Amino acid sequence: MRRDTQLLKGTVRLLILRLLDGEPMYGYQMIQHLKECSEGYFQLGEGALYPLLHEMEGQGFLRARWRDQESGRGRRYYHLTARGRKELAQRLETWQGFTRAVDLVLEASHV
Amino acid sequence: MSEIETYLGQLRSHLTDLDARRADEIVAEARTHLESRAAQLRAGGMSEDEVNAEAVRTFGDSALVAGRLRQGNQHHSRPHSLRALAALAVSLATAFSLAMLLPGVVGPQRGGSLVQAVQSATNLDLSGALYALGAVAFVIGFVPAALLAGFIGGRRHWWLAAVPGVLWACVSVPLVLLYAAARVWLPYALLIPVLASLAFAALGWFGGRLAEKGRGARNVPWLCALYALCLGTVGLQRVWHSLESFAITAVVLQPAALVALALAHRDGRLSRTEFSRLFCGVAAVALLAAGAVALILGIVGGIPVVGDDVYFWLAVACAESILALFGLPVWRLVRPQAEGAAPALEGTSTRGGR
Repeated sequence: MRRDTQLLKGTVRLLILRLLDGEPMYGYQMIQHLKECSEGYFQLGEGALYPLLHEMEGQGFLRARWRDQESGRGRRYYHLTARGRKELAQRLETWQGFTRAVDLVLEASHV
Repeated sequence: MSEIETYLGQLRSHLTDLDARRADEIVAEARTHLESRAAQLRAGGMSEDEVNAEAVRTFGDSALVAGRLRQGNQHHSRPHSLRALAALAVSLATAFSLAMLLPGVVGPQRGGSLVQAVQSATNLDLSGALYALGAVAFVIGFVPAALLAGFIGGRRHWWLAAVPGVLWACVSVPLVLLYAAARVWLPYALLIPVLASLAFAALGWFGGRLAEKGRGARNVPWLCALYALCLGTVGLQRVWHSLESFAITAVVLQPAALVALALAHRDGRLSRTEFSRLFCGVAAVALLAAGAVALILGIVGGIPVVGDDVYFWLAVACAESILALFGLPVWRLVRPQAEGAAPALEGTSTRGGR
């Protein structure tokens, strides 16, 4: 299946917010989770993910906290803030409105 | 050093625009990511060299990733205007101090004892050669300051090291033209400052490059504090006879030292315990010194050369110390969360990133 990177760029924030709505995650875990959930469709690059996470952190949508691991190294876990939840709700609404409109047009064109 | 460590070192060197603590945190996060990725690849049966190379390759080119990270972390950028101001202050303060100290730069009345000694020893009239002597001494004396100014200015503001040289050229030519007897010195009056400006710019550029390489930029607050201390010491020695100048120096240097310590703590270069000890130590020493001087003056009952203002400045120095000693625990009570966050980071990967 051909991947549209422009489409991915527009939706990656929504995907991250949605991922973190369930539980706090660290960067590597997010990449793996996205890949698994999308059956390999979303293969987010590390070089793109972390700048985006930091930007969203700066905007107040996410908050990060270091947690110690048994192996000794800590991991930086991101979790949603109240502002992030509002943003997620807005983006979900926009996305659902958009996909519904696209579906309507596609279905109408078939008729 | 493994390929991952080399990569992380490169990444860190591209993040000098960011707050040092934030940059270290980013590198620590990248390290945990690369290690996780390497472990996954290792489990897949790859050799150690292949694992490291592949982990680094998928993370992306360090300069490119650092560029994106800088964009994403603009809220953690160092205040460039403050760096520029600090570089300019170091340049101009040094130039001014040298001009006041050296003979011939602003007139024979400065450095008069040196001129008199040379004149009496050689029986020569040095008024003409004094300019050249002062100019050369100025250029040599300014070399460390130009390097330091470039280091503080970094990639963007290294050229500020050349500002005193340019000002010198702008000021000296009209001055020489005003005095007919000095016109013979006109080529030197123009040439020496222009050459000095170029040399200062080159040194500033070199200093800026040094700041970019490795992790030098994080030492800027220390360097500024050390520089202020040096200037203060020179100033103190010039007016050593005055107790008032001692008190004023204490009033100025004490907060500068305390602020430098606080900045170092905020950037993660001093642990909470180290910071507390140093902070309280500086405040306590200043308090004891100022208090002892005030006590001695009180017991002696007044010395004719001591002005009345010395008591005022000693009181200000004591007040600063007391404020610092009591202010620190109060600030920690008010902001326990901010203080509590630092040890948590230090206990994990942030420390490992250095």
